[in-house]
Amino acid sequence: MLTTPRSRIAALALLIAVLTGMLVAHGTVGPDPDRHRYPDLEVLSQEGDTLVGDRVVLSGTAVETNPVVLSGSPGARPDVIVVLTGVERDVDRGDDLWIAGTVQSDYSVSVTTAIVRSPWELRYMYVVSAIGGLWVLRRFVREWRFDRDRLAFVPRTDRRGDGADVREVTD
Amino acid sequence: MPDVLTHALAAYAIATLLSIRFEWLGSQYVTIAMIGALVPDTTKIKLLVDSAQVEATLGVPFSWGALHTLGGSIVIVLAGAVLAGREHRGPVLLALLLGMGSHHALDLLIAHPAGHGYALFWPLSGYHVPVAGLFHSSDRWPAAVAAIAAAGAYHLRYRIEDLDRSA
Repeated sequence: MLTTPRSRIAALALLIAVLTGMLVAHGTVGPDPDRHRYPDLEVLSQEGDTLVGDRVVLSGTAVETNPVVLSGSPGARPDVIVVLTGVERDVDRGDDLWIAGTVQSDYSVSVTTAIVRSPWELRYMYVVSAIGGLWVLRRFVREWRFDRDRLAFVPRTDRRGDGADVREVTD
Repeated sequence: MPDVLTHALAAYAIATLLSIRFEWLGSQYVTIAMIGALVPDTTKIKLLVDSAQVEATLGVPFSWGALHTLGGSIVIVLAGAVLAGREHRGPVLLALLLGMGSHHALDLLIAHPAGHGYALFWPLSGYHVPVAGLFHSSDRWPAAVAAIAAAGAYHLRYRIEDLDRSA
């Protein structure tokens, strides 16, 4: 099975088509509180007052602290702000907010649970994530190579005991 | 979801421990398991290209969220296995599945304000599964714990190898 380049290319094309279909299908998935899928900031911005009394899960940035006002991340859509009431955590301007709460009238949300993170905590997450990604990439490049003749990734089986590669990465 | 380093370290620790029992799971397949552990986080491409942007450009519904479900992850894992040479395809598939599984298992431990994380079993089910709420994705200690586990696994794996050699 999948022994010829043609059959493998066909299999890859099929998988890419399936994945594309999934990305589109997932775009149609809307809120369903019975399945614990709650409206987000985008849905709230579109449906507004029809959600009064409903539970929502919102994420964004604190642009004001008294009262706490959540805005979508800078540059990202939707461009709406929401007043949060009942936030029992200390919030500084610029903090990252991730909250669950109930929509009140006038675009405010009564918060039941809030996760508050400082900007530096997010920066930490991105930096160590980059380190993790580079570590895995380095291991992969050192241990695997692309065989152009077979159009496939294969281990660098001819590694010497001292860890030196005798072949160069071909791709 | 925890940071990428924590996922990579956890997959390294699990795969390295399993390599004591399963000889085929050599260093290069431990690396493949680590890649598998990063597969669900391909959904982070949304930080570069927002789903709404793609939707507006293509004119059809679109969400990168599909990548962070078992369905989307498995399709990527299968594509990864197809890219491997024939005799390596089975081990690559198993290693990718191992890493991908460790990613989703870790993600079920994190905190979510609503207590329910994401639609793990999508497209079979759109139910957002409950999460344990043990830590936040930006916490520092999970990476430290995973690093200790990885160092412990490395020590155990190569100490046993040394003992085997000297026996």
